[in-house]
Amino acid sequence: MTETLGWIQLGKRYIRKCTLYEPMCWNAGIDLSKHIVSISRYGGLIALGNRESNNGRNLTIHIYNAAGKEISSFKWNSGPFLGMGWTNSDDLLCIQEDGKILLYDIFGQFIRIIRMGKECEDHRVLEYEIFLSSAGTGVVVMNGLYRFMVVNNVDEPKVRTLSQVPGLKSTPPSSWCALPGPRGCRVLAANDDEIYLLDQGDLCTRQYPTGLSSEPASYICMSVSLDRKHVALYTNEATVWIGSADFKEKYCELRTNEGGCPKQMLWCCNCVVSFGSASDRPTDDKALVIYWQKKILVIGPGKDWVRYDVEEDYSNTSIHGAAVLCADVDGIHIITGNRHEYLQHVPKTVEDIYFPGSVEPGSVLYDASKEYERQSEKADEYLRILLDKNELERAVEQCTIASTFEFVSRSQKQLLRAASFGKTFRPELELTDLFVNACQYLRVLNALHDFNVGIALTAAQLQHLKMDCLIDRLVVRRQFRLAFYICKFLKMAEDRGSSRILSHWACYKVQQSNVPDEKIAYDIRNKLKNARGVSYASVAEKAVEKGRKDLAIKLLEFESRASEQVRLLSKLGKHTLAVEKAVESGDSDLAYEAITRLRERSSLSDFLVAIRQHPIAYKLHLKYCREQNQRMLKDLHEQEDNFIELANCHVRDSYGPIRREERNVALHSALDSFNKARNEFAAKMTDEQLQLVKDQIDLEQETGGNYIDSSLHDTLLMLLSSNYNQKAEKMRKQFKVSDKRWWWVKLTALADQRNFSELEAFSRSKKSPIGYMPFLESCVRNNAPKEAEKYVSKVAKDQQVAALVKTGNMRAAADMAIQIKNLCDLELVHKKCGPEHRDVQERVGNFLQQLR
Amino acid sequence: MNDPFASLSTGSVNFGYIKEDARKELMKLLDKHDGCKILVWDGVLIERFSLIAEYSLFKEHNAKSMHYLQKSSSSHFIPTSTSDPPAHLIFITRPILSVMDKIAECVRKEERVIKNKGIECHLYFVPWKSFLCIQKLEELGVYGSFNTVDEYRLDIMALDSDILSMEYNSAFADLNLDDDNSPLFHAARALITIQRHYGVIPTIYGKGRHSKKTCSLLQKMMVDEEEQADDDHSQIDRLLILDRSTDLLTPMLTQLTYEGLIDEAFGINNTTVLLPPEKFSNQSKSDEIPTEKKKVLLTSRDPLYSRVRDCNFNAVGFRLKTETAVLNSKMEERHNMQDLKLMRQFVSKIPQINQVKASLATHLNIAELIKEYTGTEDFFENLSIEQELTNGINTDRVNQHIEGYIFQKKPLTQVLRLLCLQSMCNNGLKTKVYEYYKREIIQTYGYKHLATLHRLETVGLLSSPSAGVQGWNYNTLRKSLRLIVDEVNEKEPSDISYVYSGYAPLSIRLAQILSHPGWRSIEEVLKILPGPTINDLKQTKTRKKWPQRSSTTVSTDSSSTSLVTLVFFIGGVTYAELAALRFLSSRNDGNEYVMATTSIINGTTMLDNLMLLNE
Repeated sequence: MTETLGWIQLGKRYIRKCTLYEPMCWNAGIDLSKHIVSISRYGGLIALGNRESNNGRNLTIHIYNAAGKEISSFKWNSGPFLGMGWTNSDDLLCIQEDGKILLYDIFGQFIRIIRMGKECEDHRVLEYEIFLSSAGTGVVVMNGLYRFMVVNNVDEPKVRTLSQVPGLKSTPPSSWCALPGPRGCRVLAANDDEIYLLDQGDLCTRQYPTGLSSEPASYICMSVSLDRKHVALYTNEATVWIGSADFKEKYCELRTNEGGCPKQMLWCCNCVVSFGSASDRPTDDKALVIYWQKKILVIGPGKDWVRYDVEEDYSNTSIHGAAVLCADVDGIHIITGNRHEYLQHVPKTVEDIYFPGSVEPGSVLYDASKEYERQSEKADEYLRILLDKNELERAVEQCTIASTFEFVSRSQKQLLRAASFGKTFRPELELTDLFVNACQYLRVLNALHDFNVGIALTAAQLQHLKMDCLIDRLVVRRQFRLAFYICKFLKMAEDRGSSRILSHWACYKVQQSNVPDEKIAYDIRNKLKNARGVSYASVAEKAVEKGRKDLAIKLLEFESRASEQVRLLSKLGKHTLAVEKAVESGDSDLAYEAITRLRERSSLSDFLVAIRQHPIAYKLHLKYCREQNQRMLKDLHEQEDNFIELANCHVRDSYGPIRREERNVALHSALDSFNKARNEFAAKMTDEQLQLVKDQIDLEQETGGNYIDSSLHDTLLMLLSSNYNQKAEKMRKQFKVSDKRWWWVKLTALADQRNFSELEAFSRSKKSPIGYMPFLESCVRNNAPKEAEKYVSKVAKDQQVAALVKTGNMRAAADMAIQIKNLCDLELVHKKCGPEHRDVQERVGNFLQQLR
Repeated sequence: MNDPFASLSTGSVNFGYIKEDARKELMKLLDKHDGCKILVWDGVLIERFSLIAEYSLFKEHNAKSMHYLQKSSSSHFIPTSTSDPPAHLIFITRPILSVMDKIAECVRKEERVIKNKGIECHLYFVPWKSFLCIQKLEELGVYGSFNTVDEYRLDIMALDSDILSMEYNSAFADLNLDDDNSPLFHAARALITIQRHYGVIPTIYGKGRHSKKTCSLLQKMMVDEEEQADDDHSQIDRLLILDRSTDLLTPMLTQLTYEGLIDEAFGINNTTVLLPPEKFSNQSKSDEIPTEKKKVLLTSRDPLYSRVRDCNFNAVGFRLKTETAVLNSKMEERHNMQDLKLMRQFVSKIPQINQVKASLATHLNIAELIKEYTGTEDFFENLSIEQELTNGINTDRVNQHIEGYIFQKKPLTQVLRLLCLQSMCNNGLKTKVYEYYKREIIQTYGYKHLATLHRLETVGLLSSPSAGVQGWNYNTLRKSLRLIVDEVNEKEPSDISYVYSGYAPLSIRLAQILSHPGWRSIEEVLKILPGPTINDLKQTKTRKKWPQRSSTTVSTDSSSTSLVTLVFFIGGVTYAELAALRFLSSRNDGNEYVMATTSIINGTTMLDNLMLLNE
């Protein structure tokens, strides 16, 4: 079986070394031993810096993807370079000897600087370690005083000093390593044969490895696994002790027979839950990997070991057999000049299927599928075994899951084919879901593995990283296109997926300083117009950050959320445009906000010029002024030559408890404005009002009554009611009061005074222009029906019945109605009869019936 | 009250969801602030909120007491003596600048207590947060006193099963007087809310410039709306947006339906009317005449009211008589009942019968009040003037009656309603006639009304002689829309004109013609009416309406296949117009209407809003 080629047994488990990339894209003559190399977890980014450069001078740092394809490179032009490492968000940390840590993105763009403090500056940093923990990416450094400083999270750099190593003389600790924990990182350090766990402050505890067969003179190398569960110690006598991180459990002790200190010692563990996790618990796979110049030794917890020669097969003598190792969450990256390999425990599911003689259902199904392809009847036989044992479901599951662990698409296909074959007999929805899911994962993983992208993720890593996070990483790498298609392929929600990527793309786009604004704006619009929920404002904000205000303004044109648009325009100082956009949105509140900003940021005259250009904003401002600032309102009307509105303001001013002169001024201003507006009628009315007010003032002085703010009608009524008949007559003439009005006013005044004799005299003074019904009615209203009756005969003939009804004389009304035989009148009488006139009503009713 | 939406779920489209939502939001708001609270209300809102939640609900959510926001009231809201102070003081206000002064005063007055006892202050704007108000609060120096300043979004509320209102009373004046388009923005938002509940309305029609603007704002907002709106299940098939300024004529006329008259005579606010207590005194046991006004809720929850509200008032007496007879016969049943089973059935019906009885008594009283109101000569005369004018008789000269009203100093709004009517029926008044009226009005009511008249001109209610309303031609409209109908059967109406006893409201004619035979038939008329026309604007792809709407709808065949139109009135609608639409729905001719409006108006309230000087 070819699939198990390269598997090597290590105790009860198998390990395998899979080739991810061969050859590497980079120059084949590269000698890794001459470089400082750092490899990132979750994806295998490689950073190279020439070790032989002098103190960082002439140093160039190259960043490659996992396939060795260069992403970027930059010249080191800062202080003395010590080393580097990757953060968990794929940024590069470059550590200087003076304790400064410079942060770069993968494109070599400087992000920011972190300082480890004065002590490091004064006493040089000698060694460092970069670690990942739940708090983020951290750094431990050891300075010239052999003191350890820790930053637990480079995103919030707080430097903590750890306890000193007890009993240390003039030599550095013989070995040390970081031990990240939930409450910050601690350090394990060996002072020759004594091991201490250094904590913050002055806390420090000595550690005693259990069951050590002989006390060594010194521990020269140590290593903690990524999951912080295991620890390995390497002694000056070439002995390895491996055990639990608390030193309480010993797994084994082994003499390596190797001279010299290992170049690297690290743990190969599986500390992530793998795909389709339900049935597969994380296996407790652990092995220690030790790397010397030419060979790699893998030691299992049961004292089993395996040895690999590095580049054992190289034929090209120019290639130096140097490798760099890096522990990832489920294996070890091994990178040499022409290869990128991955060393891991063979996942249990894969082992179960491929292992010769395995009776696991997955294995049986795999065989069945192969037989089926060969058109052999054995396929049926195998399948029956599974069906009989009711294990087909489990078999499909195993094959599906196993496929995701394979790096080679041929194996992936084989396994999926087997799963698919089995699935035809078990059409459960869960299985289909799992299958579809696995296919999707593989499709994404294979796309990532392409050397142009060069992201060496295993299925387990991707599962752990989460799809959203992967998309973020692709965005950081400016793999917008791939990210976009992955989102579309996985049908991710737009706000989380494609739209988000397009926004990022746009944000990147605006940074291309060599492309003109118009082109960028056009390109962005073109790409984003069909995307939902893209915030042009945030893209514009990015443009502002990059100093491209004009571009930002162009981009804001496309923003559909007016509030965002206006907010940013205001921030950019484009207040007039902000007003325009706010007005367009129809949201008056937003418009007022923009208007206020405009007002705050400009002189009054500029403000007025600006706001007049936007009629709707202008109207809103007028409304505001009407309520809050009358003075400004008048100024605005004046400026606009809107004399009618200006006059109306003055009309309003002329009322209320104000001084005489003020009233006069207001009225004269009104008059002036009406004249300017060529509104003759209103001007004339104002003239009359001026006269009226003048007369009213006189009247108030003469009579002591309150006349001001009353209309002409009311003034006349008051005068007549108070028997100032002469004055009333005078006003009547002066204001050319119509006869009709005069009669109404006078009769109302007299009737209300119950001066019925005078009323009668008035009615006789000449022919009434308003008829006599009003006389009659006013008497009725003042409870004088007898007086009212006097006017019945004077009322027009056709209204006499109605007049009688009004006086309450129903009997007479009925008589007259019957006499003149008028239908309307009869109905009126009939309707108006109350219970006390039942007999009249009956009579009229009868008559009405006869008539009809 | 078991089901607070019982009254709202009878229509084909259940506006109860809107109420339910508002209620939930309100409770969420109250529960956000843990512990005991004191609520201080902008007075107008406290009445309005009775449409959303009853007092007990506030109590349940730990509202200790509720207060009106009053300027310079001496008493404190927070009792200083109690050992158990509230945890929160919550102000609920409209976004109105003048109210901010009152709030500031209150906060300052209570400041000491608030500080000492560690009480948190909150401010909620209804229906939206206003920048200007916040600015004002900052100026007044109290903004910092609030722990929260937020909004309680109340785009629209359900007044009854088939009518939604924004309760935006100043909408017409804002739009037409101040050119402030805020009401349109909020109307569009309200439409978004409606569509969230009832699906994206496939097609839009409309008339008038404000309709057009609302429509384009709505379209703009729809772009930002998430796709979630489920257009397959749109319960409303068509939206008709009518701009009040397209039909200013109708509100000037006196409404003659029962509900319309109650509004004209006493004013209905938040579905409630306050009536003079004398009529209702004999109902209370004591002989004293109650001084407090009688409060009557007028909604379709009262089945009797829902049967009579839209009748012409001349038919109400007859209807009530019939109802009484039915009730009596029901009561009579018990006498000739021998079977125990029948008796048990009867007994179970007693509460219901009592309810009807009480309602009947109330409405007999109200009807009597209305009869007194309509029985006056004044009312009769006013009505004859209206009818004369709408018939186009003597509209070109000074009307003696109107003139007489001015000389008698009748209420100005009454005069202006008639005057506006005359102006519109005459396509604008002749200069001489107009100036005569104006001069007489100023002489009677005062010089300040020069500005009032100018305002009415601005909004187009009165047309100044030179200008005239562009294109408006009353006679053409009257004839082609059949606005005046001579033969009106008020008891068994056959046309919407019954709501004004002979005049068919123009707005509703437009809605009616849209349904049948379609606006294509009145293209010329639409040109005469002011403002642009929105014709068959598609919001979603047209989908043929399947006869089976949804399996859950249990209703008669005719209504399940009928086309539901939402008529949205920008600038207000009268009760009579609503009655006319309900009448059209009730004909079961395949068209059903539900209504929404910025607010419910009548001629008087409309004019009052335009006359600022009366403040």
